Amino acid sequence: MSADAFLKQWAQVVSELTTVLEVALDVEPVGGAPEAWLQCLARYDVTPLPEATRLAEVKRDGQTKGATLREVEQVLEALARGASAGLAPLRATLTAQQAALVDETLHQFAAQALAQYRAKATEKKKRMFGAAKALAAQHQYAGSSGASGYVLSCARCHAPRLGEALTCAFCGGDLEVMA
Amino acid sequence: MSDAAQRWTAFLGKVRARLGEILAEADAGVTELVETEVIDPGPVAAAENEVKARLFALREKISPAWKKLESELDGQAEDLGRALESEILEAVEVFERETRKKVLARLEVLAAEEKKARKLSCTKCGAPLPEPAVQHRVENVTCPHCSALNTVRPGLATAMVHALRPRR
Repeated sequence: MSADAFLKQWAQVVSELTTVLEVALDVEPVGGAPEAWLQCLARYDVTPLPEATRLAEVKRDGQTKGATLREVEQVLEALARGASAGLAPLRATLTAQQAALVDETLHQFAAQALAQYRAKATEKKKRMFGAAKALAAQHQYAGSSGASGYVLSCARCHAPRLGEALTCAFCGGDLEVMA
Repeated sequence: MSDAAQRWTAFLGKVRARLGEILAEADAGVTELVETEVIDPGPVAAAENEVKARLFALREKISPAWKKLESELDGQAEDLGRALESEILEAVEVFERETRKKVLARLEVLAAEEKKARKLSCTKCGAPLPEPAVQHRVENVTCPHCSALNTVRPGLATAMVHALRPRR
């Protein structure tokens, strides 16, 4: 098997994996069995779980979306097995150590994909107003909401402002807010 | 009804159901938020943005779904999708309108409380000051006792009510 053929085969595996995960995560309601998912199971020769089992498992695993973890795991294992078979011609050209590494990579590949799927499928739904409520709880204008007033006073003689003019009625000095 | 038509109808039903869920959650959430904090416009604005983002994201799902099925369906089915898109946009506008109403109603309550609690006094001599004729903006009030000119600022709720109240 040439390097090009290997890369093509590997790209095919990645593409299939992406599709499987997308279809699995799109399953609604959680643990359901829509047509697209049933087709995916059939493609990898995986038998769908009975409805009661599916519902019990998504509840047990705390899933918030997607197909059951067990069905996804079985599909990923089938995908890895298929990929392993597809890469068989490559093994003939590899040392025993290299072939073992390819098998190990494929095994890890499925396990990592399942772990990622588990993380997404059990992700807690974000509360719509989480950030807004946290901000509201700060009440950042709480100390300044009431009415208030002040008298401008002369910076020079400290006399209060007595009219509309912004200069002191007594000494002509500038008016300002005194502490 | 063809298989494609059934899938399209079921999809639109799901989108409509999700629209209802988002609006129900938004309504309850905004009501609670407005009760908690309305002087700071940040939280309500953040909530509005979140709701609108969800509604627009929901609307964005319709067109790609239609693209997958359009070769199997007729124009009448497409109209159902377009109508739902318009319904979502209308829901955004209604939500914004209703939120403004809730904010204004809460601010009016707070403004009334501010007015009740307000006891103006001269910051120079401490004598009671008369209420200015206009209360929603900064006004100058002369102290009847020492003649100092007090600059009186309105409470935030009072000023905000005036700013938000629709003009006639």
